[in-house]
Amino acid sequence: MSAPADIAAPAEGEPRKPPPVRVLVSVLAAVLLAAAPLFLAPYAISTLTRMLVFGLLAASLALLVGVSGLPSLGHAAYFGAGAYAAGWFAQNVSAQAPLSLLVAAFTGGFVAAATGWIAVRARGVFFLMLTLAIGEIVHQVADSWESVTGGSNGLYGIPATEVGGAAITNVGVLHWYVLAAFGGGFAVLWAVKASPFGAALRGIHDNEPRMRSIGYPTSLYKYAVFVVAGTVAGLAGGLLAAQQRLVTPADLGFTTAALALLAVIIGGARSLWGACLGAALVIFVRDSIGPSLDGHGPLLLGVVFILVVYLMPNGVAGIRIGRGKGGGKP
Amino acid sequence: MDGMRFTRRRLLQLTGAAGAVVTVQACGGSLGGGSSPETSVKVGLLVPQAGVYAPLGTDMRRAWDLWLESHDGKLGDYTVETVVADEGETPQTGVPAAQRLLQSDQCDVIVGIVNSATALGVRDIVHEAKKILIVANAGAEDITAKASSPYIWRSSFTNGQVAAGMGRHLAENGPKDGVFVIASDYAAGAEAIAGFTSAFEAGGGTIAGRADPPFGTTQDYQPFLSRIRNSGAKATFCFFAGAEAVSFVKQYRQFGLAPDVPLYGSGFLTEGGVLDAQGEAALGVHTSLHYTSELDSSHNKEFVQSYQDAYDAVPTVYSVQTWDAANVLDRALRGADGLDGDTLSTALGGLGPIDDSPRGTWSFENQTPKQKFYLRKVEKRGDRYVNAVVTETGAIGQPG
Repeated sequence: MSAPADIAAPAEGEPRKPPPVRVLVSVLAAVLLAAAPLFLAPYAISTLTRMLVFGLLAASLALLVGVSGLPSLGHAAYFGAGAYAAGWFAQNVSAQAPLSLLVAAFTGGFVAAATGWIAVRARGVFFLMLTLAIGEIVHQVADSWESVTGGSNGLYGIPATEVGGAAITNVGVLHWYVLAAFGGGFAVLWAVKASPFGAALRGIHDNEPRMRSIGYPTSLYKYAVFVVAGTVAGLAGGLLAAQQRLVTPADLGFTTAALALLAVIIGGARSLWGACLGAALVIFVRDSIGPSLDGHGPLLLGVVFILVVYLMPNGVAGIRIGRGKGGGKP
Repeated sequence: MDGMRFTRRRLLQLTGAAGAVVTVQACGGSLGGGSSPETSVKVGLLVPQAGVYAPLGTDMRRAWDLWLESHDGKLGDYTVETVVADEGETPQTGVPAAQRLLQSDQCDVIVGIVNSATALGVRDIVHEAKKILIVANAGAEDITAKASSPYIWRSSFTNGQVAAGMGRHLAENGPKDGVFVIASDYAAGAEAIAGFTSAFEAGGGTIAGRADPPFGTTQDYQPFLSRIRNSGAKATFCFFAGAEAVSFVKQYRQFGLAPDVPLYGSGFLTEGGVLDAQGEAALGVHTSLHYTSELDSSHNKEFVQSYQDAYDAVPTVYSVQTWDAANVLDRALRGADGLDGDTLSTALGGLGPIDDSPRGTWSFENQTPKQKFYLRKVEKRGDRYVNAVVTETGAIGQPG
């Protein structure tokens, strides 16, 4: 990764043209996710839906962390801002289908734009600390702005999303709704990553001074990706409000941000779908296994994290079955 | 950025790890087998087992287990199968856990929930599933007011109600003019202040000032303590819980306010583990609560004795609330001919006074207890600190 020409080359052994296998797997995954409500029990479906919501958050964070080299500890702030906006909008204005999601995405992007310009000026540990501070501030706002956010009790009793006048209360239908929005958000992230802009971001990740010296306005690029990631995180927040119909300060707190980062690391940092798998694992451990472990749920999450770091240093996305195909550098 | 190759050893390591996860899951999964539905009831006990509320969860679970042990494992004529789930600290963990209990474990009834936000967050799931939830701690007013559901009952208290007990007492017995109110700046604190103020002012008391220190982040209460001193208040009423209760009470004493401006509060200020941590600093602090282990009634003495025999610990208000949740379920199931939410809700509504509770007689009013409150004073008995009963109020319902 040294010559400028390499900058455009996809990192991490990702081939320029997606091989048929990869396309096939993606299509299969989409079909399976879409068909899930037909053969899974309601509880499994709502868990799967939660995985999608959290997966979109993790994927948007992966665009920052893995692709652009901006490890954010405050990404949940935009997720939560979107969730609160969607919940508030559904309660006070309209619960009509895509409206609250648009409001959520816009709010996420807006808050990211308002706070990101400070954050992207810093690098490394300073970036980490600044985003942490931003996250804490937004969390504090959510906790104390009681007339809008409901304070520490959160925003509850959010009406179910309506499509053409009918409320979506069936978990299967809700799953499809979330899946569709997830697909949209994921496509945006994927398009950004695959674009020349995404290539420049990878360049910034690998060697920012060099990129600057060839004339890239790196701060502007970082700011732009920060806002994009914030927007998609906001969208994920809107999905949270639609699915859980409850938003509390915990949703934009440090724990959520840290879990999202954990999901990204499990997934392999640079990979968007890897982050989704990481998120699925985190949700599975936290929500499906955790509650019945006599309080050792968080411990198990920690153990999983350590195992992943030791056994799969490149995350889920780093696993290559076969004889080292496409594993190396170009 | 080398992709990882799959060697045989790596594969073995991975499958080993996966196997471990599966085993853990199998161990923690559903407990017990299924007996026939007519004679058994499946209860989901949703209490915090991890995080800051874990000590409360321990007290609650102990009381639940103790009830079952001393009643042949039965509620009414139904054999009880308990599924314990970890509520955690926030709704993020609590709501999915409740969902699991209802949808995956197919519980008939849920008991527990410490965090108010979690209780409010599960409202819609419980309401739509038409299953009974007995909230055994969470004190937000809305649970049995704005967000009420025929399926959600409460065996604990409301934040405003506890504070109203103290407000009424101070208005009757003084100091009446000039009480400073201070509470953590979050929903429960605000409800406590509102409950105290309205009861206190209704009785002719006056407020000397008010402060809301930030919740969860305040380490140093000196600025607030100076304000209390400068306000010329005759007494202070406060609402703090957990670690904040410990540091506030200690700093109140260190600042030298305690002798001149006596400290009053909602009972959580000195209940359970926090009292041991406050130690001597808490001596003489007055609080109101619907229970103290020092109550001199035969029901309480019996309860405290069996609790101590079983766990070598003194029961707390959290234990009693869960004990009473079992108690009301037991009574409701005796009279009911089904386990569905509507039948049980009707049965709970027809219960009348609960006359054998360790806390004294109480009854449901709007699905939450109407009960008397004890004015308690921290004293040292032997080598431990206790909340001794000074006096009691008449029955108080949910304010508002």
